Amino acid sequence: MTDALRAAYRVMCTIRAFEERVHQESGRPATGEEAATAGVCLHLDRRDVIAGAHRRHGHRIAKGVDVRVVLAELRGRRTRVADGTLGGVSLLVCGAALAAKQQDNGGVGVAFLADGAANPGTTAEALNLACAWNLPAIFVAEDSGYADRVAALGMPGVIVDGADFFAVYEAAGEAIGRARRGAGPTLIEIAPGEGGFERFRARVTDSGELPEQVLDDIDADVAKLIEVAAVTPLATAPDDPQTDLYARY
Amino acid sequence: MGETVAGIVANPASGRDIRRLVAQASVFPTAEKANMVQRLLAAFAVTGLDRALVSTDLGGISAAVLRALGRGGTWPKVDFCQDDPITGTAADTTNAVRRMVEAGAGVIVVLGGDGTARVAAAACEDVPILALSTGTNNVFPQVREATVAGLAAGLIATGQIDPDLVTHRVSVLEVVTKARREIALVDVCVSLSRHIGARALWDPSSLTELYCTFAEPDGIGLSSVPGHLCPSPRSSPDGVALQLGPVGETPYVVHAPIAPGLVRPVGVRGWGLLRPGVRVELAAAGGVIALDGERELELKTGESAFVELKPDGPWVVDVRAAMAEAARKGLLRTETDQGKERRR
Repeated sequence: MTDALRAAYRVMCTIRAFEERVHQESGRPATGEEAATAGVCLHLDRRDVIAGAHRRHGHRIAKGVDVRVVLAELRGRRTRVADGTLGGVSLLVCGAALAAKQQDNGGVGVAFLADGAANPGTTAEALNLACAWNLPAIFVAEDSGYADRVAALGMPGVIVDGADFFAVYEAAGEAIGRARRGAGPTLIEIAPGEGGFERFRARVTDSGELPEQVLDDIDADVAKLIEVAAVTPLATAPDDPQTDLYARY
Repeated sequence: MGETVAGIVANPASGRDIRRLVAQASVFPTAEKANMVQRLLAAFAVTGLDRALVSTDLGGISAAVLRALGRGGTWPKVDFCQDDPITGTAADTTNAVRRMVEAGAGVIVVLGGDGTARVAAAACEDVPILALSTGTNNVFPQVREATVAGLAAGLIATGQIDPDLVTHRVSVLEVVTKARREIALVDVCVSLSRHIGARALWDPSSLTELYCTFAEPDGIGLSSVPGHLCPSPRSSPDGVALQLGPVGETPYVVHAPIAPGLVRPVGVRGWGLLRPGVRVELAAAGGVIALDGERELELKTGESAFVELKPDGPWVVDVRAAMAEAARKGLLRTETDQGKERRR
């Protein structure tokens, strides 16, 4: 478990440092969501696909994307994560989950739904589709009320404290495990909570699972990584703003 | 008697924990919780209650009640607890119950599972509570029609029924650690897991000790384990204490419904009576303590904790007794001239 805790801390720390560093370029930082993001993504591997709202760089970092690449997308460079595609998160994830199901590789799709995704018809459609086709899809919703709504579709919905890494990690582990076993989709509603990063740090040091020194070393390491990434000129050219403005078929 | 007040606390998060993933626990929809609040209010009105104080939440229960209030209806005056910020945590229940106690509520109706009832019980002081089930594990809350519960609560809060006749005091288990003091209404269990995590308990192999205020064979949750070995009725002042262990290493194994949809073998090393007022030191140094089936307290390695059965828990409304008393006193019936005629 110690290795897992160390990995979890590194992910949370990287998200936080990244958000703080690029705050000047990207508008509001998504700090405060590190614990929930890490709690979900640490269960994922190369078979799995995620999609999230824009400005939530943490999801990508937690999935293992190089911070330089996340930064490149943020700055509109050609080296990017998702071809600059935004929106339609839940349906894209259904597609990925369907692919994983057909390939029978145990992969899952995870959609991170921000509050803006609460009411578009595509979200309802995706949730319905995921149930109807029993897809290995996990919907992680930041808005309240989802756990209630999906019950009518027959999808289990649970609420967890978003500031508690261990709560999210455990719930996500069960949900992703279910999906990999072919037991279908799950919705995890993340109850808003502050200070997840700090709470994690206090918990693992109090319990003696990780010494302060280890965490401080990770802090320093990550700070260096982010600083180097942020000041190093990007090798790739800026993107043509017209590219990907419309979908290519 | 001055203004008569009753409180309603509804937990938006009850019935939403991980047991919907690890078992087939039911989902109690928000809309139905809001309907239950409205059924309670309708019943309160019939009893002549002056004012109902209703908790607020971000899950949509109080919003639905507010909308219904706008449509009119025969309800008592309805006020919402809006002086405390909504945190989305158990603190919301604590704050609402405190406000209701301060407002002079004669009864507080609690909508939730064992977890919600536990939190309400810790804050309600001497005000009787009436817990209705909308949660996952419901050993303490009753599965009852809210309309009838509302009549019972309203008749008590308005003083038409003497609370001394229809309420009783239940025992609680008090757990004391270095930093905290908590209560449980049904059971206290020690688990070897390190973290509170998603709170619910569903893996019996990690359990080492179990203490119960009562043990019924038809219960759901951990108290069903002693229910099949050494049953102890709710009316008994004594509780039970069990030492648990991994199946295969223990002389007894109980196939217990530890959560909805989960009947699991639980290994039992031995058991004994738990006398009220006796402070027991938990054998486990470290691990997690679960209260009423939810992991709540993390112990540091080597940290000790104590459990004690206390007879002075919350006052609880006996709906059946209350309605029998209402019938005896004829509170919900009137005799018309026709009836008098017939009697003559």
